[in-house]
Amino acid sequence: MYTCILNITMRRIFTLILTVLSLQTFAQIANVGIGTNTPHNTALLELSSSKLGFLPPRLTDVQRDSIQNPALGLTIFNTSDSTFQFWNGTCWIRSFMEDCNDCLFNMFLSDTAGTIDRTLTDSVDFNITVNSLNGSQNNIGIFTIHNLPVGVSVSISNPIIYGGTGTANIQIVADIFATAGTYPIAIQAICGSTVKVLLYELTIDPCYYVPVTQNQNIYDLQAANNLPGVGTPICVVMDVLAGAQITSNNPANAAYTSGGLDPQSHVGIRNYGSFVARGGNGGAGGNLQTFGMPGQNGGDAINMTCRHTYLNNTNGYVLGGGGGGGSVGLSYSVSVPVVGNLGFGIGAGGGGGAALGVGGNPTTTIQYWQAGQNGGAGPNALGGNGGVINTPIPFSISVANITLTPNVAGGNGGNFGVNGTSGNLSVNINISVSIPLVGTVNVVNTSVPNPPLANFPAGGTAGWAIRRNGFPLQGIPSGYYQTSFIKGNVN
Amino acid sequence: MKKFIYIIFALALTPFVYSQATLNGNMSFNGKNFRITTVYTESETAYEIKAMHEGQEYITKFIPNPALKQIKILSQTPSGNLEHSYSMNEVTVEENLSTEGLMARKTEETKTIAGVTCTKILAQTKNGNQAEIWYYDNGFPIDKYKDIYKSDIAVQALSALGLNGIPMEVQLTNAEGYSLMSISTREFSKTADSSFLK
Repeated sequence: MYTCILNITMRRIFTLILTVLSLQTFAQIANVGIGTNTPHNTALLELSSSKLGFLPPRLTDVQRDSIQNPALGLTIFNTSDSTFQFWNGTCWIRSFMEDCNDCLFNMFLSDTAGTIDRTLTDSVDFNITVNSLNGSQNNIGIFTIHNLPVGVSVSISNPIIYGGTGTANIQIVADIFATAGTYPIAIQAICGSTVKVLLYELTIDPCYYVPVTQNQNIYDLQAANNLPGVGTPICVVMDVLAGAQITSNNPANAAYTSGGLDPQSHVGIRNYGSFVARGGNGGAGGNLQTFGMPGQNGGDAINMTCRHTYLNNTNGYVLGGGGGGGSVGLSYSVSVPVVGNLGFGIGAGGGGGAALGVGGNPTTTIQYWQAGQNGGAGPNALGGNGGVINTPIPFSISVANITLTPNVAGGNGGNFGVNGTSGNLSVNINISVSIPLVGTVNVVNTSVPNPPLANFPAGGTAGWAIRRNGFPLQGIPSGYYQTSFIKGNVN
Repeated sequence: MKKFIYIIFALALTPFVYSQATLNGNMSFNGKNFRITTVYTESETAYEIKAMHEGQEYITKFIPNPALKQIKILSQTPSGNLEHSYSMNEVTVEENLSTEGLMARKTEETKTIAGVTCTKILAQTKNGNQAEIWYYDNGFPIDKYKDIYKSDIAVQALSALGLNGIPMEVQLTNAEGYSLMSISTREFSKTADSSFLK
C-alpha cells in the first residue's frame, strides 16, 4: 500500500519536471501548440481542439476586484455577468466594450403585451426599466418603433433616462375609431453604440359598428340596433352618413340617445349628417290671467347615457332645439254706458323654436289672437316669430265707439341653441259714446295692463346640442356653441 | 159759475198739455240706424234709441238736465242696466256736426208728418252742412235745450229763429251731400209718459 502511494507521488514529480523542461525547450523555439504541432507562427500559444474549449479563470466581481495590480491585458471570465473581461490598465472592460466609459446596461419591461378594449379603457401603459451595469452614467434614450393604425398614439413619460438608470412609462392610447387588431411595438433603449430592443404586443379589441344611412326620428341607438344593454358594457362606432338626418318630433325627446346601453359603454359618433333637435312650441293662449303662457323648452340633439366620443365632419350638424317664444294675453272687462260690460281677450302666440316648433295657438277662444309662426325645418331652420297685433281695432256697439290700440307681440321662437324670448303686450282702450244730437263723451281712455307689466311669460330654454348627463365626452370641449355646425350647449 | 171756472182752468192748462208728445221714428246716425222714441212733456224731453248688435238689443235713454247742464244716460244692456251722468263740460261736438255759424230760414212750405202739419226750415252751418228740418209747432220750449243739444241742428235752428215746437223730421248732409244724420217720425202721439223722463 505504501509503495503504491509512493509510486504515484514519484510519477507526478517526474511529470512536473518533464513539463518544466519541455516549457524551457518550447521557450527556446518561440511558440507552443496544444492540440497542434504547428502553432501559428504569429501566436505564442495556439490551442486547437474539435472537442474541448479554452477555459480562462472564472472569477466573480468580488474575486476579480481582489486582484492586486492586475497586469495589463489580464483576462478573466466574469461569472457575475458572464462576460469576458480584461484589464486595460484602467478598468476591467467587457470584451464587447470600447472603453471604460462605454454603456453597459440591462433593460426590462413590466409587461410585454396589453389590450385596449375602448369600452372600459382607451389605453394601456407599462414601464421600461434600465440599469447601468458598469457604473457608466451615460444617458439612455427610449424609443418605440411601430406601424400602428390611425387613432393610436404612443407616449413616453421620460424618453431620456439620465444617468443610465431609471424607469420610463410608456402609454398607448387608442381612440374608438382606430382599426382593431394586434400590433407589435419595438421598445428601444439606446446608449452610445449600445442598442437594446424588446417587443411589446398591443391588441385593440373591435367595437360594434352601426351605420345610419337614412333619416331617423328619436333614434335610440341601443334599441334600434338590439345592442347589449345594462350589464354588458360595449363600444359602438356609429357613422351618420351624409344626408341622413336624426330628428325628433317631440321636444321632450332628444333626436338621439344611446338609450339602454350599459352606462360603462362607449359610443363613437362620426357625423357626416345631422342631429336636428325639435324646437319648443310657442306659448299658447288660454291663461289670460297670467298674461300668457311660457314657451316650451327646446329639445336636445344628443342625449348621452354613457361615454361618447364625437367626431364632427364637414357638413355634420348638431343643433339643439330653439326654445319656443312665450305667449302674451290679456282679458279685460269694463262697464261702460250704452254697452254694459265690455270684455275682450287679446293675445299673441309665441313663435316655435327651430326646428319645427309650433307657433302658439289659443286653447280657448280668444277674441283677438295672432298665432305665432312655426319654426322652420332642417339644419338651416330659423325660429318662428311670435304673433303680432299692432293694428288698431275699432268697433262700435250702438252709439258706443270702441277702439283698441294693441301693441301685442308674442315672444319669438329661438333659433337653434337659442332661448325663446318673452313677448310684450299693452292695449290702449278708448271708448266714447256719440250721444246723438248732443256730442261725444269719452268714457274710457286707459292702457292695460295698468301698471304696465315688465315681465311676460318667458320663452322656453333652448335644448342642448349635446347633453352629457355627467358622462365623459371626448372630441368637443364643454361650452356653448354657435358655430356653423354646432349650435347649443355642450355639457 | 163752476163750469166757467173749469173752462178757465182748462184754458190755462192748454199750452202745457198741448206740448206733450211722444214720437216714434227712425234715426240714422254715424252710419247706423236706430229706432228712436222721443218724449216731450210740457217743458222736458228725453229720447231713447234702440240698436241691435250681434243679435242682442241695446236700449239707451238720454235725459238732458238743462238746469244742471248734465245729461244722464240710462243703458239697458245684455249685461244689465247702467246709469251714468256727464257734465256738458265733458261733451265735445265733433267738427263735422258743429252748428257754428248757423244760418236758418223758416219757409212757408208745410207737409203732414204722422198726422200733424209741419213747417220746413232750412239751415246751413259754417262747415257747409245743410239741413232740412220739419217741425211741428206744439209750443214746446225747445230753446231751453240749446245748450245741451249742441249738435242738433234742428234745436239750434228753432232756437235761433225763436220758435217753439218739436222737430219731426231732420235731414242733415255735409257739403258733399252725404247724409250725416236723419230723423223721421212714423208715429206721433199728443200724450207723454212722464216716467219716461226718469
